[in-house]
Amino acid sequence: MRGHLDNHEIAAAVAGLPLDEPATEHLAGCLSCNRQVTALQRLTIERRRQMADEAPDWQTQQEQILSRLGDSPAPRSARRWMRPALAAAAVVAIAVGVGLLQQPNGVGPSQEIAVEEILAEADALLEDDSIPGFEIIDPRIEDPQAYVGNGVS
Amino acid sequence: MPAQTDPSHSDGALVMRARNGDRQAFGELVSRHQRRVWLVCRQYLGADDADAATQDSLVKAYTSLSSFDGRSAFTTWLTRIAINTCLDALRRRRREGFRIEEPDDREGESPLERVSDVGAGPEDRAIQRQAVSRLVACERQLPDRQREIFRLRFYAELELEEIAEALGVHVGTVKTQLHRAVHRMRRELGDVR
Repeated sequence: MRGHLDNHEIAAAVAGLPLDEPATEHLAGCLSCNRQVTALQRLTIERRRQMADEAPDWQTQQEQILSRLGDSPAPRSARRWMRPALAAAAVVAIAVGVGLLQQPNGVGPSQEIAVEEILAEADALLEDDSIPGFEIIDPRIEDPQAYVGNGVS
Repeated sequence: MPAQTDPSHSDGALVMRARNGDRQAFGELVSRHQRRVWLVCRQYLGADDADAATQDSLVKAYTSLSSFDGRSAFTTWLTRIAINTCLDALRRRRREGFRIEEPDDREGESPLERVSDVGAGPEDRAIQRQAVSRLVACERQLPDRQREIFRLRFYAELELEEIAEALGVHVGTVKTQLHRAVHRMRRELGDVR
């Protein structure tokens, strides 16, 4: 049968940290060690109670918070506003890449690959959710054949 | 209040609605979490400043909802915002030369022996207040990180994992620091074998 908990074990018990089984069993049946553990806990409970007495009126606080939201911008998906910007950046990057391809001194395989990568990234960027301003209004616009023989103007 | 176990009223569902501008949904989130946020802020600031910091934190949370990616619990994300808001406030106060008053120390009997099990009359309450004052004085002597973790654990009642995530440290670090804080507090308060 083990003896009383040492100071480190009592500190662990006060903090709610796990004890080994012999210590746990001892604590369950020892009034002296329990008193050691609960003494500081009772003080912290009292301190917490004092803090609770200082708490503001929650309803008032909530109203103040919500009234401040009127001045705050509505939260928006970061990806929503970023996608047009990123798409535009991708177009610029493509233009730069094409410009490089048109250099009089020619272009090597590494620069051709870079352009392909840029185009692939732009495709990946655009294939997700629709981007405001970039929605396809009428799918037939992308397919000229859709107009052939339809008499659609 | 709708049961939080109902998926349509979970924090995650309310966040989604609030992101789309549903102020009522955000109001529900405020109602659920404002006490907790205030308790966290109170560990860094006085009562009045904690109220202001709580409001600032929740307004920041609203404008930053788009950045909440759900990888951590909403409460943990909110706790991190609250702590950063408080640290910003403390830095401002330091720059302005604001000093925090220290509670009076008290000689004599260990405060741990003064706290009664039963909430009795005025005399007992006075004794308890003095014991708590001594507790607060000892807390201030702790190293900053130990004090912070001690308060978040015992007063804000955060779980160890949440403290770790909010402070950006390993949970093992939290356990070690908490253990040391408690050990030192017990020694300072005079209840060590």
